[in-house]
Amino acid sequence: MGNSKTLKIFAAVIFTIAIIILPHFAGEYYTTLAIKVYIMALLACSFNLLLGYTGILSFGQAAYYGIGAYTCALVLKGAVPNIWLGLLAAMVASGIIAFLFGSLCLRLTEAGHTVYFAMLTLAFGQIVYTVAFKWDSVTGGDNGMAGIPAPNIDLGFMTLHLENVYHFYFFAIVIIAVALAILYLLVHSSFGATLQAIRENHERAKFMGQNIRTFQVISFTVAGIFCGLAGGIFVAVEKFVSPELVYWSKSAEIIMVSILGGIYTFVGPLVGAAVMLLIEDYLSSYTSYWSVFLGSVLIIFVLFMPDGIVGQLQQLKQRYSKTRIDTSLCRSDE
Amino acid sequence: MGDLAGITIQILNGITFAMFLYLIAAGLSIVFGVIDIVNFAHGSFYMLGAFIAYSLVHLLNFNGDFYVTLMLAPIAVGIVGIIMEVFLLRPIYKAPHFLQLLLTYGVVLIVQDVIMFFWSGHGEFVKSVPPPKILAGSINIFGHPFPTYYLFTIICGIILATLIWWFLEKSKWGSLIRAAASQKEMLNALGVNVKLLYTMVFALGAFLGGLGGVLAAPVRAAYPGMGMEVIVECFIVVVLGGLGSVRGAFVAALIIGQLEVFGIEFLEEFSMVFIYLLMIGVLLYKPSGLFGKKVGQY
Repeated sequence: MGNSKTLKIFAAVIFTIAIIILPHFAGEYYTTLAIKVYIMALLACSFNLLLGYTGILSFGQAAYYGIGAYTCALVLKGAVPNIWLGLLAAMVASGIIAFLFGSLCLRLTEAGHTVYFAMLTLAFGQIVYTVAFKWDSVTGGDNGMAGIPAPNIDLGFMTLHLENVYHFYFFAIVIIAVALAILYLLVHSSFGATLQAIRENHERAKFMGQNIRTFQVISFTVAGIFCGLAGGIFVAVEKFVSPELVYWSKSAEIIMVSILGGIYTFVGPLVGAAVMLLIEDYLSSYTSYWSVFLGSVLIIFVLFMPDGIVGQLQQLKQRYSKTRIDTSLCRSDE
Repeated sequence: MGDLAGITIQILNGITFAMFLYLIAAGLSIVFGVIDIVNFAHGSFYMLGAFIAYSLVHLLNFNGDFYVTLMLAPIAVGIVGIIMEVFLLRPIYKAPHFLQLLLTYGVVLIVQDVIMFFWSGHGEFVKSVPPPKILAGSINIFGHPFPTYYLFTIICGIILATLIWWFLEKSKWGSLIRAAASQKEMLNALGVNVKLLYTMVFALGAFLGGLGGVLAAPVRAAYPGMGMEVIVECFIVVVLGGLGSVRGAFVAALIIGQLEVFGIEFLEEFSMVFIYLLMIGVLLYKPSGLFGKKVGQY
């Protein structure tokens, strides 16, 4: 046991170092791609707080991503172009709207059908999309907003020039790492345990005196906040935002990434984000027909590996250790 | 606009639009009601219908052969539906809902590229499908021109709605389908081949989606992305009418059709927002929709 823990820490250290030195080896293009992977990882991970941990399916997370992105863009183009203010505003805006929507709409999940709630979130996502698409004077309509400035950050001992991708990389990894750490602590706290109890059995959780709705609303709001943050970071690196960001296929992509990686583990969606964006990048440089591969991969996963990459690996590991120590069979999940 | 004749034309436009919506949504609703699957790929069936119609029209050289196209293209789409049901859906009927949703989304992605590959390879994305010559002109309604093809669509829509109603309520197959929607185990015990029934229901849904595509092609043209657009509108119709209720879908489609036409007059660009809000409101206060059964029954 102790051995495997040292191994884990060792692996984590190697991994962290690899992420930090990555921009030294990758060019500007791949550094940007890495930032996009981290953004998608944050999106998928916060989405998984809903599906994997709380057991509610949102088909409209792109709405909060988009709200964050547009809010941050408006702040950066406004009178006080401050990146901290932009990200904060993005989180607050998405958080408030997620809270309002969640407290209004989460009552439906109790009716027992995940599809109803999925439909609601889909409709809301499309509302945000329509507003972004049509409200020319604020959002730039169809064309979106371009030329969003990325201001410098004075850290006292040095200045980060966010226009520079390499500088931005470090800015992004620190923020996203903090966000992921918060999510990690959250799902491993008693709060996270309650969420999982709700996912597993509504009735039992209710009898144990838990107010299911409150927990679900909090979970939905937190997911919204982090989606908003992801949107804010996206705008700052891309310097561009358009309604495409909010279209329902974006929400589907977030779900896809999570399930590809595996929704019943914390790292699953992170792995999914990396795998998916790398496949997409690789294929799109060879062919314009990459979504047919993506669709096939998705179908193969649903049919043969519904637990995702990480879930599948865990099962393999379990099977391996089972053959060695038969007592591990005592553990029975579902 | 403003005068009575103008309003009549607008109402007729709304009904035309409603007929497309109904045909597509009816298939989606039947599939949901019986098989309990929310099929994102239904929009892809609609899109396939439109593109196959485009090819057939050019193959058959189009002299009065539109009616052949009207039959052939939906049958082709129905066959695609059978393949999808047998190979992809059957293995996951017992899987959680989100996996089923995701699988159908995978099909959306694949169909999207297949259409790009076969039909839009030369950078020409929008394929216009001309209506047959007899239906190409327009007729006079209170001194205003109204496209003949729209009238044809309305008549087709009403005939098809009646047929679908008759099929579901009066025919033997229909009673089996309705039985499958409420009591699957019982049906199985009675010796009905439920597997085959599911395949047939899914094929019927795909057929209707394809038919909607063919009918809409002369009005809306065929372009990649039309499936993704229409599926959200269909969800609204199905939810508003009551998940699984075909009659509800008809009424809901008529409502949405009028709202879209008149919403643009009064709310301009934001008319769609209003329709989404309507859907959210209905889901919140009467999740079963206008004609749906109680929630939790499915």
